[in-house]
Amino acid sequence: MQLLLLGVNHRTAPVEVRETLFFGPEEARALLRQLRGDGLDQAMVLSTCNRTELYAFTSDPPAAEDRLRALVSRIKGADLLSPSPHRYTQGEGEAARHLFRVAAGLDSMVLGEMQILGQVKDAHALAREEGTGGVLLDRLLGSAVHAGKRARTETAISAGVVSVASAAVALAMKVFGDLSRGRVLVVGAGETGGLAARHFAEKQPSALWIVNRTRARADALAGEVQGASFPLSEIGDLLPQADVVVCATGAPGHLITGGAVRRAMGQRPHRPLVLVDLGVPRNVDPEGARQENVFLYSIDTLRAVADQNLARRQREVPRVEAIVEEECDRFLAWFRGLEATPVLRELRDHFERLRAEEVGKSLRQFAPHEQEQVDRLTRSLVNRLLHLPTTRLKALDLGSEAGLSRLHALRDLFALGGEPGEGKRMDGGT
Amino acid sequence: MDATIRLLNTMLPMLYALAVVAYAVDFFREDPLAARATRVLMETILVLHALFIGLRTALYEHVPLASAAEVMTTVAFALALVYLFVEWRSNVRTTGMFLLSFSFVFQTVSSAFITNRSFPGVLRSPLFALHTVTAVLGYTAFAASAVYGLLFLLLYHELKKSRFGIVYERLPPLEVLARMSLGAVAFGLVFLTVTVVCGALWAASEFPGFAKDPKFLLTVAVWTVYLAALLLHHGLHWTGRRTIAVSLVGFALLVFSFIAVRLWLASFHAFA
Repeated sequence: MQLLLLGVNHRTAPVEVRETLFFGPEEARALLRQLRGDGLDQAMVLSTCNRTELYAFTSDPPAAEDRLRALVSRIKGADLLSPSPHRYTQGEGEAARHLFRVAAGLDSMVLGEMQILGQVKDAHALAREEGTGGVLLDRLLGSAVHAGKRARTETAISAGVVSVASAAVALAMKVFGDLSRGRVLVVGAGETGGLAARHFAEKQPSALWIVNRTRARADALAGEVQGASFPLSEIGDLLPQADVVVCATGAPGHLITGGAVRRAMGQRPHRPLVLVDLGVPRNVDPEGARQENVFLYSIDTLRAVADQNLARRQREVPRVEAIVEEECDRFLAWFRGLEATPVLRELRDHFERLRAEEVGKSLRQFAPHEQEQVDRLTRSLVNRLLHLPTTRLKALDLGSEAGLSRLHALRDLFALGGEPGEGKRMDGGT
Repeated sequence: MDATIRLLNTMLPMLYALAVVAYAVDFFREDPLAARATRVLMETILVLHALFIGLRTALYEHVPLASAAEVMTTVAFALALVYLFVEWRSNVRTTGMFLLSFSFVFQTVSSAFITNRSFPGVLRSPLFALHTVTAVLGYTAFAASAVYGLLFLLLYHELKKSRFGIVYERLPPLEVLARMSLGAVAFGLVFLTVTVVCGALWAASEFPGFAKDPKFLLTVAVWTVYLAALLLHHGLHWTGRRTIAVSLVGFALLVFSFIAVRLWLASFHAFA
């Protein structure tokens, strides 16, 4: 039994290919059902906006790869997983290592982004629901998720924020702690303003106001983020009521002057005001920052925060790689310990050793011409004794609980090697 | 019992040192092991320290507030207790290093100099015991409030200057620090109120002229300033630097009252 990975991701394929290959939950279910029908009964689909990867345990990787390609082609109407620079295929050790790196956030578009951990868990849950879980896949996914959790808790791989918009939210949170009672005013409904509004909307502020020169765009963005829109002329009235103000327009002068900030603070003398200026040229007069309880941040400041955090995450990569290696090696040791061939070899060695010891003790009692006969006879006896167990061992389905438990029993009975994963943690961390 | 007390007296400074180290590692390195260790250590320390104080009280027949060294161990305990209460309420561990450093210093000095000194019989009254214990708890809460207030000002300064170093990364948000500081003020004010009431009831019979005592007057002033800070916060919705500034004025007055009574003013409190 081997692990096969077939997929594309943000490093290998452009967005057009990735979006075509994206499997929503229902499509993924359909694919898993067909895979099970095709004999691939331990398989999983991990599909996000940055990757679509198919993992399957199979005893015949080339044939399994062909089946996966054919099924995906049938569902998507295009053979996007044929050999090309976009797709990658990996076997056993590399495939497992890849999944562990994905779960640890090392393969994410934004280094250390941990949403992927939840997506890996969801993909696993989907496989189990569709009956393509199984012992091997459960163990693989459990170990990968455990590696991801360790990466997140033992290192700073996902610490801090690494985009300008999320840095703006983080700074506001550093002042207020909780934005659910705060009011956020976003001036500018363009790309940057929209991004900031969406990030702040995630924190569910008590009010999210969108102001834009073109009212229709403000309406559209407000509708999207469940906020309220206002014309640009009302900015002066909204300013004293807002706790966070994000400006992201291309207006040539200062939209918010030092005087406007002073007047606003006069109406709210004891409440802090966070001003985030993402405009170029600047939309907020730096004079405004002189007021007590006013915190003003420009786009350069936010970028510096994001870069600082990203650099910090990058410094953590070697530590996360070490965790991935450790967990992956542990999984592979367990996985390889399941193979029947080494057990068979050990079993035969065990019997041969016993035979040789016993023959060696008695051989001198025989005449030289009889010694050869004794040796041949005992070898033949051992072969006969081991014939049936060997045949049955080779026929075991090691992907099933029953097969695994028989293998374990055999190893236990004859004290062969060590228990797979003996002395090691068996929990999967799911 | 005496051997247990001596053992605890030696162990406590070491345990506080360990706690400070664990909180420091958690602060600078965000080490999950250290984070788990902090809680276990704190619970162990509080149990052992409470046992230490209880055993001393039982064996020497007085609450350990009769000498500077005794006061110090009680303050160290109270500070740790207040800190753990605030940590439990706010779920923020990053200020432990700052507050528990004081507990460590107080306990170390106390362990080095503590003796089994006898003290005036007049101080054996239960009212006096309540008065002194609540005073220590109240003053400790005000000390914690001052530490949180100073951390607030430090973070405020960093945020104003757009400096995003370890202070920015590890300290809790400004409003949380303000809440912690004012929470400690409320905690302290309740205890100080009990202190003043018990003290007045007790002193009314022992020291009839206590109302003109400088320590009493200064304590009432401290109480008033802290009450003002809370009223400004809850009544006039003051937040931020101004409320913190008022509470720090209260703490400065409190420290002054201690120094003044010992160095310059004649007060019946001078025996403590």
